[in-house]
Amino acid sequence: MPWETLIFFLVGALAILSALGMVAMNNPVHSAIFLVICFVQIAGIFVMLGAEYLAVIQIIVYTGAVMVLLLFVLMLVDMDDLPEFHTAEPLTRVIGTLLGVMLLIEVAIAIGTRTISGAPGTDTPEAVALVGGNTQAIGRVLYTKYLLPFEIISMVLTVGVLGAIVLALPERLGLEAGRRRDTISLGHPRGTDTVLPIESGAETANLSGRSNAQPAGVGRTLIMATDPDDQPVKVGGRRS
Amino acid sequence: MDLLNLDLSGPQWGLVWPQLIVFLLAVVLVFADAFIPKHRSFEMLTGISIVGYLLALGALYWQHDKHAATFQGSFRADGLTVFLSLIILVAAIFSVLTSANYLKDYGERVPIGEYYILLAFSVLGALLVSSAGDLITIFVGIELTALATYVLTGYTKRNAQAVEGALKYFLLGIFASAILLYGMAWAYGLSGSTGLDNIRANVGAAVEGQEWFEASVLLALLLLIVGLGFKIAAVPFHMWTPDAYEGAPTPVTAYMSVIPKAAGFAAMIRLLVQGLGPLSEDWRWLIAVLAVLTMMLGNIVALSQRNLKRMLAYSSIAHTGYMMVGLAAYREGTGFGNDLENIIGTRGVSALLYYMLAYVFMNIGAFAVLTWIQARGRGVTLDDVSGLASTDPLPAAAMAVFMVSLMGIPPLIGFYAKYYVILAAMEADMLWLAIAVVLASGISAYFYLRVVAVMYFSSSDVTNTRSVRTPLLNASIILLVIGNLVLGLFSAGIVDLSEDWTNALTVAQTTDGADAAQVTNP
Amino acid sequence: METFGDNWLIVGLMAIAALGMGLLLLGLNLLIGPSRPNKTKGDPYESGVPDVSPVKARFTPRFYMVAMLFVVFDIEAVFIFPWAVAFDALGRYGFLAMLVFLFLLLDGYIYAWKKGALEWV
Repeated sequence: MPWETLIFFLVGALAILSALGMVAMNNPVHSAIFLVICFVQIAGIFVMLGAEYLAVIQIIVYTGAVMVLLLFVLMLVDMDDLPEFHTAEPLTRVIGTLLGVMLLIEVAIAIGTRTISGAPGTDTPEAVALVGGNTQAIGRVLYTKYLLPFEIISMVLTVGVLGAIVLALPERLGLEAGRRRDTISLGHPRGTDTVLPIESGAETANLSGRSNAQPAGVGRTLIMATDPDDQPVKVGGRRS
Repeated sequence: MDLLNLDLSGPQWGLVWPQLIVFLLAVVLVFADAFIPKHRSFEMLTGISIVGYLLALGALYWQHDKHAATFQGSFRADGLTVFLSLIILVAAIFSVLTSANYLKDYGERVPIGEYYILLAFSVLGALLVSSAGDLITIFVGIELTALATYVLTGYTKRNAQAVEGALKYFLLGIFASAILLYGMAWAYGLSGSTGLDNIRANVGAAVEGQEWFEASVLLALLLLIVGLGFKIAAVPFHMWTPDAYEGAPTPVTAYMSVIPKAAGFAAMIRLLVQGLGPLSEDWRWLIAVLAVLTMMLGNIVALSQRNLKRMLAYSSIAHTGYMMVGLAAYREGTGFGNDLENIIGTRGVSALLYYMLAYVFMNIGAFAVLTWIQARGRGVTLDDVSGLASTDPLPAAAMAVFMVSLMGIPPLIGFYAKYYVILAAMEADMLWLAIAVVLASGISAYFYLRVVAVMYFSSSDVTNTRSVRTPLLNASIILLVIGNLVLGLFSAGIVDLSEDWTNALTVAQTTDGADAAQVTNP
Repeated sequence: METFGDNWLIVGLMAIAALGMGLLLLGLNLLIGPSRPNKTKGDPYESGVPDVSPVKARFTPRFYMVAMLFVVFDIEAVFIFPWAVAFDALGRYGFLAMLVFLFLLLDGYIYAWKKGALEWV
């Protein structure tokens, strides 16, 4: 067996095993670490395919940026607030597994019995080598043939910035000074959104409506803002 | 074009004016929101939005007789683009009109500027999907629409129900996007190109004369239909719909029941009819079965809903089913083991387009009346509208018009929409599908008419607790009622128009510089 | 073209060397360093005061904001890189294409700035 094939099987097996590990772990942070390992293996597969640029993106964007974001989110929420892992009803687990296996078999059959496939086109490995390599080739195609999707992606990124600001920015930053005291928000004594207690527990109280650290949060009730769609409702309850 | 001889000719800007205007609108709104003082922002931003969409609507006039592609085949200015853009822009204008008062009233708690910006980007995404000539453009366009809609769903972020709906919508939505992308990867692998025209040519050539159904093609079709099924809320991929619709602010519900759905159908028409049209005999069964499931489940579950927003959510699922009937009625000559003489179902696509136009007027109307009621301090359950006719006769009358239109009673637009869908199903030799539409409409009569009955024949025990003036909302309700009453009368002309415009759909356009990869049998 | 060649062999050797170095230092420490643990050494240190603060410290949502903005601008950098290496072939056309892209990102950046998302208070 040529050693390239050997390395491919090694990398592939590691990718699959780390993906399984990610699903099986009980601690979300451990899952995240396994996901990092999986991403690195996939970057390795990209390298073997000759797509060095994609490999580097895989590392920079996924293992770098996205995982940092994911870990931040994990640390923003209290682990105790998360639903218990692996407590799905037996029926759900069986059906889920069954569907996954079915998809796997379907993909295997589709790959195995495939008779038609697209031709490689004009961008042959020789042409790629001639323009200087993989990254140069992507640059040449991305900004000419795929110019429109490329510009749309910048809009998607802008919407990402906007969405993060709309959903995650605490209101007292976004509002002007004079209007702040009218809002009522989660976990604060009624009517005092701006006048946050100075105690160190204030920030955590802001998040979950209860304070872990300081007795300052004792006696606070959960107050939701009233807006027109606000109806008394049990969150997460089953409704048909 | 290849890597060494790059095609560096810029896009033909003359073809992309409507989309460009909406893009500029979004950019202007971002700057306006950042720099206009707070006390002026509501009037300014609402005005800018409406003027922007109206300008884009006007610019469609210069796009309508073009049949050309630009951006190296990624963008197509053809009849389908124009008709879908028309639907989307009309819906966008009504969305702005219905949400303006809501935002003004609750502007203390929800930021106004971001709402219009996200709306503009979302509309732009839908416009780009409907003009896409390339798999990648379809995907990023759908993502642009969906991403902005997720944020809008959770816009009242202190409302736990809104956040719950937004989270469910987001998680299932991105999951569906992954499935869609995998399906696109298969379509690319089978055809060797991301351009829809090339896919059509290559897949058509590859399946010509094949007697048996290829598993890889089936997998690609399944993945694409499942992925887009989530976006248009077809059963059994509708799970997010009731919670997201109920949790979102009512004007957002009005918006998200129309424009992301229009984007989803635009992507379906582009992908299945334009790209994979030669396989129509294979995918139309999938679509037809899903359509029947969607119609039946949507209408039957809607029967038991007392919350009007949830009821309209299930009703919108049911209407997705009716629209899918139009798509299922599309039949083309070639396919695995099939030799029809010619295309017999183009009326299906035009019926679907007309239905979508009608749906804009019916559904945004119903949600606009709900917004009107909510602005006056009432809730959205059936009890809250009881006796509405005695206290507020005009909104009650408008609601009655929308309900009857959604049900499909003759002089109104909803009837003509269903009529053309049924006609298309019968033309495509799918009588059972036509019967299913009629049956489903019969079921739906119960819950639509119940609203009317409760409004007119129940005693009024809920009263308005607030008194506000909502001029823009009133104007939009009046316009929507007129649309419901009048547009039905011009239905024949509109359907013919959409048919003229979409007939050119299956003809490969002049794609400047797109490479024509050939399909081989290895 | 060779898809998996000598350049990557060097990268692989580098990775193995880095891993080996880390393991070597840790192993040496384990082998020759003295190890005499007791209770006081194992206690967390907090200025002589008994440790009372909760173990599960949580971050404020501002970290999320910063991380989210970081991801967005990181992806922007990813898209600029292939443009930079192919710039000679793209010329003025590519320059304009990138200008529109950067303008939109600048749009979002100005917006975030004006809304106070970049402030820490």
